[in-house]
Amino acid sequence: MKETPHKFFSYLREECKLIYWDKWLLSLVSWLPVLLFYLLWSIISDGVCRNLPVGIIDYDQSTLSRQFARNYEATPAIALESYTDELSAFADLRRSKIYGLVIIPKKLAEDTVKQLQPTITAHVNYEYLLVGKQINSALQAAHATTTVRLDVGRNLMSKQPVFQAALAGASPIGVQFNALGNKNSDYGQFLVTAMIPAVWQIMVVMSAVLSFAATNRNVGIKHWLQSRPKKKIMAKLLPLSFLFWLQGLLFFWTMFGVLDWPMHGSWLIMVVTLMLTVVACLGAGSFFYLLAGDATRALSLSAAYTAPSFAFMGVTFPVSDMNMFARIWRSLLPVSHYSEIQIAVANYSATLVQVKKPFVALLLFVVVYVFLFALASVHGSTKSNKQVKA
Amino acid sequence: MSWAKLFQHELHTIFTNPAVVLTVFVGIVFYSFLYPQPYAQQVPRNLALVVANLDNSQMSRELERMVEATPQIKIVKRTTSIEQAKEHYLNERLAGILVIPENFYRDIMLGKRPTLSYSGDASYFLVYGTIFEGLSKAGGTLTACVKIRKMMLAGKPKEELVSVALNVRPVFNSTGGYLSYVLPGVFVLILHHTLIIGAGLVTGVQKEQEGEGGYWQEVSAAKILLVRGVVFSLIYLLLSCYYFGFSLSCYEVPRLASIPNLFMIWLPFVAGAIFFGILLGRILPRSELVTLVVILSSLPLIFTSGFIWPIEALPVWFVAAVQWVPVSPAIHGFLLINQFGAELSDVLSVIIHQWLLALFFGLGAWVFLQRGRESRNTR
Repeated sequence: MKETPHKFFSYLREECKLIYWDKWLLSLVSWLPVLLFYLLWSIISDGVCRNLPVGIIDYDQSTLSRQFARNYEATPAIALESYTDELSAFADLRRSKIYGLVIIPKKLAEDTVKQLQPTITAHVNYEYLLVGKQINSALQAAHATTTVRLDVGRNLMSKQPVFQAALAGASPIGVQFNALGNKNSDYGQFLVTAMIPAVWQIMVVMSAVLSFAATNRNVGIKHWLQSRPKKKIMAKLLPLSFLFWLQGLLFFWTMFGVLDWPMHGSWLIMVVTLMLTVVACLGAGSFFYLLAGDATRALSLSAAYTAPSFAFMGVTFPVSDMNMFARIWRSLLPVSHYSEIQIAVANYSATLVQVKKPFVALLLFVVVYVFLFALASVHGSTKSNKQVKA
Repeated sequence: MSWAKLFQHELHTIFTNPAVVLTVFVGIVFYSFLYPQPYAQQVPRNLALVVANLDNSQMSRELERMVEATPQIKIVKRTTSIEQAKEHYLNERLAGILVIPENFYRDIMLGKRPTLSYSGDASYFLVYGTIFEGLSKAGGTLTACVKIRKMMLAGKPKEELVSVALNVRPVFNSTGGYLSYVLPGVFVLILHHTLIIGAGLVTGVQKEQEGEGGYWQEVSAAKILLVRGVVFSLIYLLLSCYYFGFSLSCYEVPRLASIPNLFMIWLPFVAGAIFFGILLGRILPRSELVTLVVILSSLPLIFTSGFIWPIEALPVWFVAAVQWVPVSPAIHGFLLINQFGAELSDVLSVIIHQWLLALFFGLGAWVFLQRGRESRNTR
């Protein structure tokens, strides 16, 4: 091979021109990711759900029942709406006008005095799992506080005049929950840190496909691959990887630098990880293009590959509870390794040794390039049947 | 051209386009299998916990057993110092640390109210919530035991324990399963997206081949719209039966709606998606861009459709914007009638909304098909 660096630079210039002229590719590497990142962030920027509508029917209308209602209402997650009959309340539950329905039984106060242990029932819509769980824990917490307060009051009146002792009598053990990593339990914030990389991965993979498609439109892919395919592919992917790496740095810096979400670990690990992820994704996208041989089919493949990746990232559902197949599929997606590193580094300031597994997994995506170059040489050696436009 | 001939051409176009077949048929079957995989277990169980027992009394060990007895939690490591527990937690990626404080037993008996402390990553709401449930249950059981023991020591009857109880009943997804949570919505999104891509690709490819002439240029735009709509509707009728019938029942997701009621939501949904697809295929310069646009929209759309993240917590302008996409009202409508068992009258506004969208996109598709025709004639 009598390659000169000069030649490589001319390929590189070619590719930069290609990105510039293909307005869709240009959008995909410039403003579109920024717009999508912003949209995703704005969806969940609120972070915690407040004032979720919950219905209440108070059949007792006593001081006690109102005290319970007031305490439920006092939690920020819930906004109570009063109903008088169950029929209309359940209808609204089915229409999802309310996410839950609290029913306080008749004779609540009377039964409490008689020590008959009355039960307040709360029907909570668990089809909206996230909402349902939040309402559940808010109700439980408010209820526990109310009952302990009642008990303490009773204890103070009868036997234990000291508040501490009265409290211990009412609830002998305290349980305290400390949130690590995500101090204020901001679930939305955590979701965004996973959603953005997932969308970013889709864009990186698809940009490789669009770039190959553009070359195919201009000169015909088979013709293009006839000489020095490796150099040309590298020249093609280099500007893309740089641009998407910048995009990656941008979202990472925005989330953990500008918005100041908790980031305890090393920035250097993340900078390298972002690069590795881009390289892996571009390899996959290029591979799909050469495998499918045309843009539409390649994009269909890329879609099948990347679109459900959010579900496999282990953010919504723990990886430890995934089955074998899900774990295998997951390991084939660069972004799941990326997110593993991101969470470990940002939340626990993990060192490189602690994240070596996902890190090595990302490095292993180099194998894709072996297949890619093999495919490229196959394409290059078959005769070009596409008319070459000058 | 006769109707029969036109149908024949249309079917031929769809089934000979590999990208359409790949997306519509292979895609739908593939996703119905792939997407539920991570959630196959429905609820997280046996989450790994490390216990730092600084007390080491009989009661603290009893508590450990109670924690272990909950289905949610599994104690994988027992240590006697917080530092050791932390190390295990970090290195083995455990779900959390439970610390039983020093003098736990003595403090309880002295009426000093010791505090158990649990630390875990709250980022994972499902994991954190599950452990919360498990520990609360175990803590509650121990509390009751302690109270009873104290009362018996004091020679009082057990009944004094009673107070007001709260019984939270999960409805519509009574086990809190993750599949029942995501599948009803995600399946609608998959149907919607593959349909738009399918209709969009067929239209887009024909637009690219305009110069070469074809059957679609010999009939009116309205006729093409009608035939394409009918053909895709019939294909999706089959595929929707597979999703709403076989797949959902396979994953044990509740299905409450009657078939005629489902159909009332399904028809305007499919019509809207097909016309939207045709419109996109006509507007976008190249057919593959349909796939790109549709796939990039999936995450924003799924998160604003209201079932993952509550509508109340979303920005108003975003909710208003996604109402223009057929999938948003459709997910809402399908959830209401199929998961919650709402009446058809409850979703009347949704159905009207869907038909308006179908009309809007139908008109748009017609205008652009027509415009393509005119520009060709003037050329």
